[in-house]
Amino acid sequence: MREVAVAGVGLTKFDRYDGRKGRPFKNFDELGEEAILAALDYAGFEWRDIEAVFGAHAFQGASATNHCLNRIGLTGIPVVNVENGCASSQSAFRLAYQQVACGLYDVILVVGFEKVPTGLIDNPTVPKWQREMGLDVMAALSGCSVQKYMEDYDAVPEDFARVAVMERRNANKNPKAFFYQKGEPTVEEILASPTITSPLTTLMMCPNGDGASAAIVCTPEKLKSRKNMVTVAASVQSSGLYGNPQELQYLRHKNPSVFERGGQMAYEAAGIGPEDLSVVQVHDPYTPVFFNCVEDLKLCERGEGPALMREGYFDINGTTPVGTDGGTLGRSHPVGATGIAEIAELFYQLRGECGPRQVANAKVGLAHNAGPGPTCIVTVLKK
Amino acid sequence: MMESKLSRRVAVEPGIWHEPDDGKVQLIGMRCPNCGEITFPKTSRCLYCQNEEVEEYLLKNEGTVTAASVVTRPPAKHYRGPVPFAIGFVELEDELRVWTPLASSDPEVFKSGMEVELVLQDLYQNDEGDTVVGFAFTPKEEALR
Ligand SMILES: [Zn+2]
Repeated sequence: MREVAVAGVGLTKFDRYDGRKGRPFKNFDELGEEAILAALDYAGFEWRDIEAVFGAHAFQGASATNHCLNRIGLTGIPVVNVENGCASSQSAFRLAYQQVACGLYDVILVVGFEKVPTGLIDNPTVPKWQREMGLDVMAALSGCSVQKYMEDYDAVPEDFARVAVMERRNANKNPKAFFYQKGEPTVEEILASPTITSPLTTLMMCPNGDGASAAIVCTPEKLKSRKNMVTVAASVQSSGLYGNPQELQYLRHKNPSVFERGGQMAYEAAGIGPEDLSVVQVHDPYTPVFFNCVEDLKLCERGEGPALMREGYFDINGTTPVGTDGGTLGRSHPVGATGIAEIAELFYQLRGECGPRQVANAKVGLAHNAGPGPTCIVTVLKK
Repeated sequence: MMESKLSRRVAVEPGIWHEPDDGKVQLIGMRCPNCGEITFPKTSRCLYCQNEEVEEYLLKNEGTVTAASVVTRPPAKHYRGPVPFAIGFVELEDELRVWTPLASSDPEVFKSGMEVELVLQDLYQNDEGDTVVGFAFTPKEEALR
């Protein structure tokens, strides 16, 4: 396998592009175009340097990637649309990484873009009759998991609010984040916001933001400069395993969760352990998922997450900074754009370009992108 | 449950529960004779060992709530019932946990450890005017009423 570098990344501002209340209106193809041009610009590449494209989205309809590319140029290259729910864009990134690593192409562009529906996001993997019974509300599963977590470990509702406080604080320092300079709510304000799926409140759930993200992967030879080179140390995927705890109906079999297996596979592929990570991005659309992520990825012991959060362990200047760009709660979660946005943040952090949210001496970063199914992609970048 | 003379009652999906004329309704699961695994809803092969010689298995119709959440906003698609409504996990004695609607006059009533019983409840009227029925677990004292 060949070494694979990240040549550049690009992001739109994550926002609501619906043209209402003084906000700008943009279609998904404009957002995709903007992210692609930003990534090309960063890498110093021309559009004609791109040999293949993987485009990721969940709600934009058949072959939507081509709408973005039709705004840039038709160069006859293979274009593949990737849909994998909330994990779509890191799935696309993984395919691009593999094709460069095995020598099929030298330069591939991946783009993720989405304009997100309003309201509760449903789970398309649930059969229609169960959806008619209201059983497709993913946030309610998370509401149930809070109760279980508080029964099993030393945690209180304030702990689940504190995740949102930290991610909102980080988002204040990221001009691309949905909640950039939108204040830092207190634990009390978060708990007092309207309840959506008890005990989860509005501010414990990710906002419905739109946006796009892009990245270019290539062989090191193709880079314009190898100064501060960032390479892909691992890009792995796991899916549901009978008896894993996300599928709570299974009583007899106990298997590691899709997150835990994804983490194990990534550490093995990268030849590192959780103690080597300088910065981590986790996929936490609801605050309780943050603790599932950091514990399954072995950043701490089971049940330790809330106490470490109180101590600032996951803060930008903490032992293992998590969600430095604002995370899913502060950046927002434009479904098909989230996975590459996480990779973009790792890339900026490893290159020392994060300004007020920069993690000191960042060398290795891990991004975790999850989707219904369940599925989980874990990507490790290193300097 | 109210039953209109004009309207038929149809199951939200066939093969999900068994309703005897003279007994209590039970969910239809799958039991694998090879590995002993029990799954709901039933599948045509065992999801654990892939054995295809599986048999129907009627689940216990009583259980205990392990967690519940009250949904205060309408789900994105397909659901046409009342809002707010409760959903959660019910653990059937040593069989499995079911992710299920929880029915009560007060959706806030469900707490971990509460004993509940399987009932059928009306979901909505379909385009033919039939009443579509689904299952739910309800507190034992409400089921007696
Ligand atoms: Zn079996």
